[in-house]
Formats: sequence, C-alpha cells, structure tokens
Amino acid sequence: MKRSRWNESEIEDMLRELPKVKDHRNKAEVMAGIYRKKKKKRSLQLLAGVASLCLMIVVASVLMIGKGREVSQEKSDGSRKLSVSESKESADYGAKSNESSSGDIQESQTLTGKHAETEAKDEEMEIEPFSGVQEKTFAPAIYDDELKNASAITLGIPDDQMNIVVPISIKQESSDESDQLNRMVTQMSQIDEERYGLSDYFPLDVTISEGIDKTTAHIEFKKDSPLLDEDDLFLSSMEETLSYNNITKMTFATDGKQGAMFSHAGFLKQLEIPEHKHRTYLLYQKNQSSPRLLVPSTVQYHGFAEALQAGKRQSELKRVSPAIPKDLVWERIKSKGSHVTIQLAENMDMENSERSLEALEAILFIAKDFGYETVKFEHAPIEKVGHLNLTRDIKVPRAPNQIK
Amino acid sequence: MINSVFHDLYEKYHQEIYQFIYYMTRNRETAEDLVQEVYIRIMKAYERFEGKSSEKTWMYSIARNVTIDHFRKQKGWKDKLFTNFDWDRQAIEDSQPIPEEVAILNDDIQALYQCLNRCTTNQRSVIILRYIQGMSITETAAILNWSESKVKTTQHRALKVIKKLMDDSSGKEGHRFEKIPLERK
Repeated sequence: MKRSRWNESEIEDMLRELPKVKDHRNKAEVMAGIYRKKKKKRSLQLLAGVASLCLMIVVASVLMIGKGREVSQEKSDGSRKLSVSESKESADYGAKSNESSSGDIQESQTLTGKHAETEAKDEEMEIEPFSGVQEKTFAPAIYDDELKNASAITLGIPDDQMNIVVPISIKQESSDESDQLNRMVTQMSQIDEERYGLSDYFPLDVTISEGIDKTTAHIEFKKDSPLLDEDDLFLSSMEETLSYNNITKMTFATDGKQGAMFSHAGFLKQLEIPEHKHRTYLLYQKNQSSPRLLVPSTVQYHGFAEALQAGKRQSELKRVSPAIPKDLVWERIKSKGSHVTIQLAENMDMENSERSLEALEAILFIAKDFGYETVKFEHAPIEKVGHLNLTRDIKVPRAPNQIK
Repeated sequence: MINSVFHDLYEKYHQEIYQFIYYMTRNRETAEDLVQEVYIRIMKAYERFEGKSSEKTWMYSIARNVTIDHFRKQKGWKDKLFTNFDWDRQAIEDSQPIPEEVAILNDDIQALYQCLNRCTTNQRSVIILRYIQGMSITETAAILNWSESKVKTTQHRALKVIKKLMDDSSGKEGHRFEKIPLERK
C-alpha cells in the first residue's frame, strides 16, 4: 500500500502557515464603500417598490377591463363568450405574473432587510442538496412479518449536531443473516445521511470484520485515528448499529495490536453491547423537509412506566421533541414475562393518524428496550392505527425508522 | 450605525473578518464587498445584540452568513444560466487567481491552498476558523452554532479530505496543480 506523503499534523502545520491576507483599503474607503452599498440598496428597494406599484396598477386595470367586458358581454349575445374567457385568462395570467414578481420583490427585500438575529434560519437552509425533495413524514418501523424474504440493516447515525445517535433502517432483499456484518459495512458507505437530516458520519476509517464468533464484531483502528478521540460518539454509534445487527460484543485492535486507547473510555480490548438499555424514545427532525425519526434517549430509566412518562417530556436537545403526546394517557401497566399490557384511559381520543403511529411505535420501542416482546393496548378507542391492530397483542418492531 | 461603533469594530476585527471572508470566497473584490455587507447587517441588528455571545463571535457569525448568502445567490444564477450544461463548476472556481501572499510560498502550501477549495463549505469554514483564524473549538462551535463534537468531527474529516487530495496530487507527474494566474493587486 502506498504510504501517504503527509501526516495530519503536518497538514495542520501547513494550514497554520497560510499567509495573512489584508484588506488594503483604509477605514475611510471601507466606510465610503458601505455608504455606496447602502445607497444602491435603497435605490433598488425604491425601484422594486415602484415596479410593484406599477404592476398592481396594470393588474388592477386589466382586471377592471376584464370585468367590464364580462358585464357588457353578458348583456350581448352568447356567441362572443370565447373572447370573454380569453380576457379572463389574460387577467388570471396578469394576476399570476404579479404574484411571482412580488414574490421576487419580497425575496429581494427580505434579503436586503435581513439582519444577524434572523440568520439562524440561514443555518437551517444552508446548502442542503436535497432540500425540498426529501421525505417529510414519519419513517415507520420494520416489523418481523415484513422480513420473510428480506432482512433489515440498521445504522446508528449522529444527528446534525452530533449530540444523539439516530437509528436508521434499510430493508434489503437478501434474508441471509450470515452475511449481515458485510452488508452492514457496505451500507455504511452507501448511506446518504444528510438526506435524512443527519450528520455525514459513515463510512468510518476503521476495519470492521467478524470476530471470534458470529455475534462479535472486530474493529481495527489506525494509530492516531480521530475516532479514538471522539469515542463517546463512536461507541454510541457502533453500539446502536451493531445491537440491531445481531452483534453482542465488540473487540478492538490498533495497528494489529490487541486493544484500543480511547480518550474517554480508556484502554479497551472488548466491550459488551447491552441487550436492553432501558431508554425512552423521542422524535428527531432536523427541519420541515427532513423526515421525523424516533431516537432513543441518552439517559436510562429504572422502570418501564418511568421511561414511558419521559417520552412525553420536552427535551433540552435541539430538534428533539416528545414522541408521546400529553393527551395519550394510560391508567395501568401490567407485565407478565415478556408481555406488557398498557391500559389506556377510557374515553381517550385517538385518531388513525401518523402522529398516533409515532406515539405507539415510540411505546413499542420503549417496551423493546425493557425486554418486552409483545404489547397489548387495552381500551384503545380505535381498532387500527396504521397497520397496527390494537385489538390484538402487538409484537415489538424489529428496527426503527425505515428509509427507502 | 453610530460611527463610533463602526470605528470600534473596524479597529478590533476588520482585518480578521476580511481574511475569513477572503479565504471562504478566494476573491478580493468579493471579500471587500461582503465585508461591507457585514457592517450593514451589524448596523441593522446592533441594537438588538444581547451580548449572549461575544462581539467577536457575533461578527464572525454574521460574516459566515453573509458568505453563505453570497454562495447561495451565486448558485442560484449559475443554476438558471447553466441548467442544460454539464459544466465543471469546481474548475470554474479553481481558476480564481492565487493571491500574491500565497504565490510566494512553497509549492506544498500553494497546493494546500488549492485543496482547501475542494472541501465542503462546512469543512472549509472549520479549517479556516481553526487554523487560519486561530479560533478554539469552543469559539468555532459558537460561531457556527454547532456542538463542539460536530466541530471536531468536521475538522477531522476536512483534514482527511485535504490529506487525500494532497496525496493524489503528489502522485501525478509533473506539477501537482495546474499553474494558475497570479493575482494582480
């Protein structure tokens, strides 16, 4: 393998050597430039205002003429109806073109009138390649009955701010689970995280292979890998990813030597992945044009009822909101073995809507996190929400947030 | 804007804000125009500045947003103009003249300057703030309104991209980068 000519610290040193670049103008020249720019803006705004006024006058007169004609035509014979509709069309067209022009004007006014306080919006909009064509709805879970001739790959991807890890699942045609780890690694290099409002995180600069058995993943780092410094995020992402892909343990190596020295977790040779993490589930959505996704909390809860209640609470994290609405009320929770019954409050309202599905799936995933396999909702006011049949025991889903 | 505010901000931050915008846009005239826009926006918002962030952080945030608005507007008209053409947009941007300050340095630094432009806007922002402007992770996070974790990850990724581009370019025969014209002041 070809060795790199530079290492990262050399690149960093060279970046620091990039020269200082100065504005050669003096203060007075800059100030004069600002006044010129402001004056130009004011003239443009004035021009835009005059233009929109002219357009309004033109449109108003066209509409008035059109109306006048319509009235006179109604009085005359019906053979001239064609010209009336033409006149209407032109009036409509006038109205439409006026609409778009004033839209443009408004945009130019907004641009010139924008100030720093409103710039947060810019951040949201910033160069999003898929903005406007993304899924805008809730991404439902994958259930066992959908996987008769298919399998699911789940990746734990950091959110846009890299505070939390959001699991994203992809259904694949192959049902061969022996090849799951390789397919997972392949998926890591194919996923377009930003499309779903998440951080561009994968592929990772590590080698992931099968460990001593099928339930162990062996992760090999390069010395000085930045992932060793950002171990909190890396280990959370890997735990989330691997736990959905039938892996219960990670083993580590660095440059062929056993173990890895993490900045926060210290030296680790291996790490068990807990099967049940006792978390609640919330909703993450980067912006209106990205899908709503269920996300597990970073905190753990002692009991299932406590975790359920926490699903209604507002999060301090940006872009994270409760998944369970306050008006979804339960009176009693009973569990027996791997089954849990949630007795809903009587006379409670529930619609067969996406919002209800989000809430119920959040509850199902909280149940899964506490080791339950089936859930029954008693006193449900309706029989079905999405494909969930509330009259029966519901098997907890296999994986959350199915994307296509 | 009250003149004294302009004078104060000019004395304290003008050159570094100009430099930040220059490295983002790689064009002197654009940087001169955009730095003026920064003052205009400050003028509109200064009374509402609550002091939640430092004055410097606030000014940088505005500078970054002004730059992004510039890219967005540029992207807008180019998209309209070149809808049916498969133009290599990167090549167009790469033809920006190299500043004299960079041209007098060694080939590796010149190559690095070129590589910086191949990074994404976010990566470039982090690299410029961290290494050229000398900001800390915390300051960079405040300017970009990101978490520190995102700054660190973006920084690592950007370094990786630059390293790869530098390696790729050194693998080629002859000049690593095509000679580009020297900027005339």
